[in-house]
Order: sequence, then C-alpha cells, then structure tokens
Amino acid sequence: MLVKALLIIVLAMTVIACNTQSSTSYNDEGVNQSAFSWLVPSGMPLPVEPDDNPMTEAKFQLGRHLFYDERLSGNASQACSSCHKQEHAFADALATPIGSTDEVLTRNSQGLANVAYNATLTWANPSIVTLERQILIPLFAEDPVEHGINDENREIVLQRIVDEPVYQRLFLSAYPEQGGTVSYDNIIKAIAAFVRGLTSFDSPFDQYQRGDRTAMSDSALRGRDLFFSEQMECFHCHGGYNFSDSTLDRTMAFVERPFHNTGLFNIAGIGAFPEENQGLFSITANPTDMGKFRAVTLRNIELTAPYMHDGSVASLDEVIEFYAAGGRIIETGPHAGDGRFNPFKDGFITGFEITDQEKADLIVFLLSLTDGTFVTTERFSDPWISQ
Amino acid sequence: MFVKYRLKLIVLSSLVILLAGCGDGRDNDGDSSNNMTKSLTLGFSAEANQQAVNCDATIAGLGTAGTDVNFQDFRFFIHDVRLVKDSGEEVVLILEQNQWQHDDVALIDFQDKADSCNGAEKPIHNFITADYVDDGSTYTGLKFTVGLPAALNHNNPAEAPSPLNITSLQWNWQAGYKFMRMDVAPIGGITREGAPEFTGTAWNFHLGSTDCSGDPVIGEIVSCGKPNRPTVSLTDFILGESEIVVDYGVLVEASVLAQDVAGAPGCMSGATDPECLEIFSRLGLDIATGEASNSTVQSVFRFR
Repeated sequence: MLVKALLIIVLAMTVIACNTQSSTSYNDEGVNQSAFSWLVPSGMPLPVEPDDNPMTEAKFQLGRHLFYDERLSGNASQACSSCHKQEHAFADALATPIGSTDEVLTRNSQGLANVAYNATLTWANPSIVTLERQILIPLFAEDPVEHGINDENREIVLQRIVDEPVYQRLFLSAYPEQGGTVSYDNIIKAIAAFVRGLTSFDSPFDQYQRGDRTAMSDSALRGRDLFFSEQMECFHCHGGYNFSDSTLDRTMAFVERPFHNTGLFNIAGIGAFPEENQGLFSITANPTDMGKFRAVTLRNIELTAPYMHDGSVASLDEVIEFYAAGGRIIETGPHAGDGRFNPFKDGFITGFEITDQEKADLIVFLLSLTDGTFVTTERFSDPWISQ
Repeated sequence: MFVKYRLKLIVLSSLVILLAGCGDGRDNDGDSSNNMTKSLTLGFSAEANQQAVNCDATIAGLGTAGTDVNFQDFRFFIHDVRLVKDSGEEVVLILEQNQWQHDDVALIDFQDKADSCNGAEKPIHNFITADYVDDGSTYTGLKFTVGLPAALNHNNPAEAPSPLNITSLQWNWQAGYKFMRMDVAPIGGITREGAPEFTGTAWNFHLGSTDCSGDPVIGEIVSCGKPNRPTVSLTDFILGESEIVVDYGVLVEASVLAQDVAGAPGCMSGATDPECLEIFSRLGLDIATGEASNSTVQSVFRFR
C-alpha cells in the first residue's frame, strides 16, 4: 500500500519534473533547496535536516574537526574516527570495535556513507531516528564504554575543547548567534552535521546511471541484473537509491523503518540470537522481533568487511554463500542451531542456486558500488593532519 | 526555557481547575480568601534490612539467597507529587525550581560518592521542596509517580537543565532516562548456572520506558510501548512529620542477587529478563505491558 502510494507520488513528481519547457511551476517546498553543499547529484533527493540543526558549512567543518579529535573521550584516546575510518568508508575492518577503556563492543562498526538517509540509526533501534540522538550513545555509553565521557570527566573533556585555539574560531563561525559557545549540545550538533554530510554518490554504478556507459563492465552489469532478480531477492531489503529499505529523505510522505532477521542464528531451535545481540527484540521485547536488524546500505560494501551486525561473516563471497543457503548452520558451541529454520526469519531469505560465474558477477557488481571519491576526498579527511 | 515556562503554566492551570473543582459553588470568594500558598519539605530515606543505604555500607542478607552487597548507585526521579486531603481531593505540589528539581520532576539521590561509589564524595539529596495551595484541609495521603513524564523523557539531554543533564541517568539507547538506578555489587560476584564463563560484578536495576519509537523531527510523537512508571499512593500521611522510606530490601526480597539467570545482569527493564519479573511486581508494575499491575501494588515506598 505504502509503496504503491509512494510510487504514485514519485511518478507524479517525475511527470512534473519533465515539464520543464512548459509554464507549469511546482512548489517543491524546499525539497531541492539547502544552504549546504550536499554533493548530492541533481535528481537525487536530499536528506532530512532537523529544524533545530540545519546544515551549514561552518558546522560541518567544526564537526569534521571534532570527529577526528581523540580529546573528545574520557581518557583522550578515542575519536569517532578511531572506529570510523575514511579508507573503510568509515567502518573499521574489525569484527567488533574496542572502546577507549579496552572494552570490546558487541556490534560491528558501521560504514557512514549516506547515513543521513537512514530511517533509523544504529543496527536495530526504532527509537534512535536522528544522528543527534545516536551520537549520545558512543560519547556517553557506560555499557559498553566507547568514548567514556561521564559525569566525573565531562567538564574536563569540555575544557580540552575550550582550550584548543583552533576550536575558538570554528565554534564562533558555527554558532555566531551564541558567540561560539562550546557545549555538548553544540558539539553533538556539529558532529551530526559532519556525519550527515558524508554523502556517497560517485561510484561506477552512479556514473553508469548518469550516462557513462563505460563505468560498469559486462560482468558488473550481469551482476546487477542478478542483484535485482527475483531469483536472488537481494533488492527487497537492499533496494532503492541507497540500497537499503530503511531509507528516509525529504520527498517521502510515508516513513518505513523495517528490520529483518536473516537466519544468522537459531540457538536451541527456538529462533534465539546470542544474548548480547538480539536486535530489535532488545528494544521492543516482542518475541517476533528476535534477531531483526536494519538492512545497511551496500554502498562501499567492498570496504566495510567483515559483515553483519556482529562482524561474523568475513567476505562478500561468504555473505553470498550465506544467503544462497538461506541461513547459517552453526554445528557446535553455545550458539549451535540451524539458522535456516529460524521461525522469525524474513520471508525473502529462502536460499537460491548460484553458479560460480554468477557469484563472480554479483561480486563485481557489488564492487561497482565503491565510491573512490568518498574514501579519498580531502573534504571528509582528518583536518588536523594538514594543520 | 519556553518548554519549562509552558509546563509550569500547565501545572498552574491544572491547579486552578483543581481549585475551582474544590468549591461547591456556594461561596467561592470566601473559599479562595482562605487559601494560602504554603511551602513544604518532604524527606526521603533509603534503607535495606533496616540499614541506611550509602556507598560505604555493606548490607547483609538481601534477597532469597541472603546476599551481602555494597551499593554502587541509588538514585531515582519522581514527578507529579500530590497531597491527598481527607476528602480524597488531590492538591498538586509545585516544585521549587533548583538543581535537583525541574518542572514537576525531582531527583532523589543517595549515592554519596561519584563514579559508581568509587569516586570523590558528593552531596546526597534526600528531600523535595515545594509550594502548595492550602485551604486549611487535613492532608492524609501522598501520591507521586516514579520516573519522568513522557513530555520530558525524550528531550535533548545535551541541553537539558539540571537534574536532567546527569549523564549517568540518561538512557540513550532507549531515547530517554533511567527512572531508577539502583546498582549493587554482591560480595563474591554474580554467577550464572550452567555458564562457568559468565562473570559479573554488579547486579544492576535500571528502570525506564522501553519499546519507544517515533521521530519528532518529522512531526511524529515519541511514544513508548512500555512506559514503566510506577505510581505510589501512600496513606496515613502526617504533614510535616511523615518521611518516605524507599526500601531496597523489599525491592529485591524475591530476587537472587548473587545470580543472573539471563538477560542483562540484574534487571534493566527488559520485558523478558527473568530478573525483572519480581522487581517489577514490587513496584506494582505489569512487566508485560509496562502499566500498573492489576494484581499487586507497590511495596517499596512507605511512610515512617
């Protein structure tokens, strides 16, 4: 129903957009307007900007400095960038990251490409819908500790930021109406602005879409057709321009915040997931939400290994094998169980036959989603290095 | 600032409505001339097995296994505090606005050392101060709700006023606050039957609203499937004398503090966490719905 309504709206807008030669005017209510340079290609909708934190270049640049600043942690050892590295599309190549006090986290560090479009943040939490809300978790979480800012050290940490001369200029230019106040609220809003600005739409796939027929190889194109086939069903969860069904932009009239159980576990045959990682269930306590996680974007997926919410699948080859099997069988140990028969598994994960050639093509397609600009552009890089 | 002002207005206007309701229409002018704004202080004390709760206390024999514990945290929010007249009518208390009280929310804090009782000494706060409009009635009861009201539970904690800016009481993964935080370290640690690799040092109780969703940015209202706000109604109140006792011993009287069967060690409000069932029952909450239980009333709070 929703999808149908959306289609109609999109169709209607497309029709209007095509009418550029006529005198018809269309009030897009700011859909394509922003004071900020999003680096989003024309025709691609812009993300939602919170009313209380509109995007500005000054905030983006302040947020960039804070994102790369280890002083923003209890013991001055960990920055956002410690676990979100540009060369890995802002993931970190570890199964699960390690916090500033050496605690091992339970969930894989996510890539940050296009997170501005996520309908929900983190791996599975319908109550975290803005980056401003999400950023509170790594900064202040106690269990597990990430940045480790707490009641005892929060003023000390803030003072480190106050004392840095570079920040005096940056805060003043980001928050001129407040005289450049250094506060946690302003810190969080600036980091959110930087992360929201991490857009990625310059992969070979995008270049091909924009008309460069040389951008994708024949193999990649065959892989693309497989990806969007009813045989593989990949696109049901990883569909749309951001390759995730949990996508929200400012053109959308209806919001969907789906989560999926892919059959990674089936402990004791009752559908259970490991206690520290039960997905949506840990928020809602609804038994059928066991093991459901948000489908992440596949943009830059080549660079964000290992995969899944717990980093338990090492390579794209293994990911495809896992989906081809329709779930994961764990023979022994505390997590033993046949994930293929998880009672809460998504209906689209039914397994499929795939030849070696098809698998190779599918992987070549997935590699065509790697945005070389995104992972090398100075705009998203560590600003402290050049200073 | 605006929100604070608006909420105060709401509280004040509901008070006016309440007062208007008090008059029976005979002689309103006469009634109101007898009304006086008075101040009161309501004290709280925290105990377990008749011993005072503080960071240095070791309290013995708690729960069904008679576990000895040291406290690491003991704080909770209350809101919507009302006096109950002998007629049954209720009078809303208007809390003084200070670092412990914001809008109609007050923080009660028995943690006398920072950093989970490992840090520097810090002041406790064991009372609320409030104004109320006194019409000369006799007050025989007291009501309040534990936690934060929904209107404040999902504010921006990074710019919230004290006491809502306390990091360790924010519950960011549930997009809200911890309503109660009562953490103990059982002496000898925590074990899990059949799981020799399980090690735990703290048996924590964190109460808060769960199962929340909604995006205020796109005009949605954040709502929580399980509000988990215990309501407390105490009788035999004596104005100026009654003190509210919060009894951890009662809270955990049916719990095994040296063990954790499953879920978060202790109870972090998970609806399927086995440790939550008895704890929620002591607070008069139905674990399945997060609403008031039909079968049990809270027994953790009482008067002395």
